[in-house]
Amino acid sequence: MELAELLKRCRQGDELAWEALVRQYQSRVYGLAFHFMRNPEEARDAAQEIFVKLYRGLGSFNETEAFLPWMLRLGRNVCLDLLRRRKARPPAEDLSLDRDDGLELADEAAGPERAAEASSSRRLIHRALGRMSDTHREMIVLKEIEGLKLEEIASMLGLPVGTVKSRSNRARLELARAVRALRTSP
Amino acid sequence: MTCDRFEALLEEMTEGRLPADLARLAEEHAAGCAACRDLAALALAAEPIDPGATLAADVLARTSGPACEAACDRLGDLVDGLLAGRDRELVELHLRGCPECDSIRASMLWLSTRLAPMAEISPDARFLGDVLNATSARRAEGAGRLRLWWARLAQRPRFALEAAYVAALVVWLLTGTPASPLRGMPRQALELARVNPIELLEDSVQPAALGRQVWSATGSRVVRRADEASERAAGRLAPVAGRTGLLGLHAKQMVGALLSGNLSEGAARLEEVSADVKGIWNELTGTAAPIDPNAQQT
Repeated sequence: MELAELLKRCRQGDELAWEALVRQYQSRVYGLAFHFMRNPEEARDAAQEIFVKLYRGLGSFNETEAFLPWMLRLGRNVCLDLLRRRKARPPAEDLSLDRDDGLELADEAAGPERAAEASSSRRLIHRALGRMSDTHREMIVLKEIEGLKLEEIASMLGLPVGTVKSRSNRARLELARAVRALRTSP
Repeated sequence: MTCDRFEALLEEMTEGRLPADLARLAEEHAAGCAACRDLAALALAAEPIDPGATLAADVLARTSGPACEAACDRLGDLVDGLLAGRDRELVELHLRGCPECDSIRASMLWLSTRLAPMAEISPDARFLGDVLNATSARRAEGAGRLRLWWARLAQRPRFALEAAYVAALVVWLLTGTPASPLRGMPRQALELARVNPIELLEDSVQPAALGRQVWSATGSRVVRRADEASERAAGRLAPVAGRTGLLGLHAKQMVGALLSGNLSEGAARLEEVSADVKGIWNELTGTAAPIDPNAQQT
């Protein structure tokens, strides 16, 4: 079903349509929350909160606007609000790297070797993200992971496009250096 | 050929890349120009020798400074394929001579295919159920459930039409069928609407006139009875008035005797006060015969 039709049915109170929408975007929303909160439990709570706000805000969603940036903007605001309320943040190195660390991607159709390599890469990137500043990590999440355009990020953050571009470049460099350091460390 | 033109072709000439016609012109010029001929000899004699890997870095350190920052600023565009032409050549030239920056480029390339798939991370199996529980109207409790149901109903596009149809049906069922409980109400309402308001007002005056008639018949009797009761009360209180006068006198004498220290006199007056109180009580309750109020005054 097309997204426009799905959203229309959701606004009419169609519970099946709402369930379909949740199923379609739950991995995306949880992924966004996980990259911001950096903790599986808190990411789960944040993701649920995002969906609740999304459910309540469907009536005010402008159909001429793209849904994904709107949802990501809402999700980002929820995560930032929860982060502000959080009193202590565990250091990135203390995050569990077991299979239960919440980093199981949605698409695990590859073979076992590729899946293991992908899993190892994800954990490495996750640790590297933990070493970054909040501003640069957010830029990586929004642009490199979520795939938003510079103009969309600029609108979301209230910054000029040029500032977003330079900040994005610096963020990529910082991440690349962090990844390199982790890959070469024993 | 001029000397400027000869110097411009010097590098190609020493590398043997000059076309035949230009090479002939250059040789003819060198044959007639000592300065250019010496310059050509010098260029042919200076074979390139590798200065080592650090010479360029040392030179840059003493001049413009390392170019790493400028190169890294362009690495993102290089990795994304957005860098072209001379900019691309310059960045790649730097990377060939800078292992540090080249390793950063390699990390960027490694990341470029691995970040986008991290956008979707599967939550646990209970997540969907929890979200639906938090948002579904079916699981809302009590007033919240009703509120949600009503909100959904009111948002239906034909809600007004449906509500009017239902209301009309209800009214007909209540008043329009032979078995309707309020079958006569429409007729009564119509009759009420037809009543003259002036006639209604005149009819409402009748109770006031009736009230006046009742009062004229009974009011005088009420007043007469009240007067009689007042007279009886006054007659009853008249003998008591004498006793209260005596009571006041005896009480005053008693207080005076006690204040002057005459206890025997005070005791005698106390007995008189007590007798006066008893007499008043008996008079009010009708248990004693009236006495002459002037008999015992002293």
